Amino acid sequence: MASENIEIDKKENMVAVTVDPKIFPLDTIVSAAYVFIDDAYVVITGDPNQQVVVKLKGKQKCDLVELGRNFNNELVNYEFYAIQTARTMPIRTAIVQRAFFTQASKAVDSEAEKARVPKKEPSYLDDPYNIAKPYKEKVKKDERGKKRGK
Amino acid sequence: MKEVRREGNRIVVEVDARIYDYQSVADAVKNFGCPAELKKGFGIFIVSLKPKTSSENTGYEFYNFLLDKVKERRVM
Repeated sequence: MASENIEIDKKENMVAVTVDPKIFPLDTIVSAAYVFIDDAYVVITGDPNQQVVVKLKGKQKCDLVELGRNFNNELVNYEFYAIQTARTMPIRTAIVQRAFFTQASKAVDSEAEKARVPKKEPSYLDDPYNIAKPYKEKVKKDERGKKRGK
Repeated sequence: MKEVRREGNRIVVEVDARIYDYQSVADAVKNFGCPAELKKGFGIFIVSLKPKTSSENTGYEFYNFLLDKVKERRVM
């Protein structure tokens, strides 16, 4: 018993699934086959322009028909994923561009903000050379000098 | 075409060059973990493996390893 595109070799414990590469491209076939590498040995042969044959040899005894059908499902799954990816590509690109643009404009804004802040007017309280002293200290020193002079 | 066959104590794997690219096959041969030899045939790559325990499964293991390399290289 087998489906249209599934051939079973019970002696080898192997199922061969024939795939039309015009429907499922080679990337999709490889992605779908990769899912099975834990349960089966995967061999891909054939012409990627005409017909690709994926051979799945079970590592243990298993239902070969089910294995082949699961592979067919996985093909559809990955092809759907590829179609959705292609369909949403412009939106994703726009989102990423927007994110980059926002970050870039934030950086520009902060630079502009820095440039916009006016320089502080110099005040009489500023002591750039650190020579100002508190009044009390200064008075005490003066008094000591006077006492010594006396 | 039988993809995996035994030749004495060697396992010979024939890889379809239309499906698997040379870089991936070379990468797999280099990193498979047992002495291996790569030759180019007509539309195929011939990989001769010399594993410690000679079993046809080693050849199929090589195929799975190769698929991993192909996936790394070309698939989303």
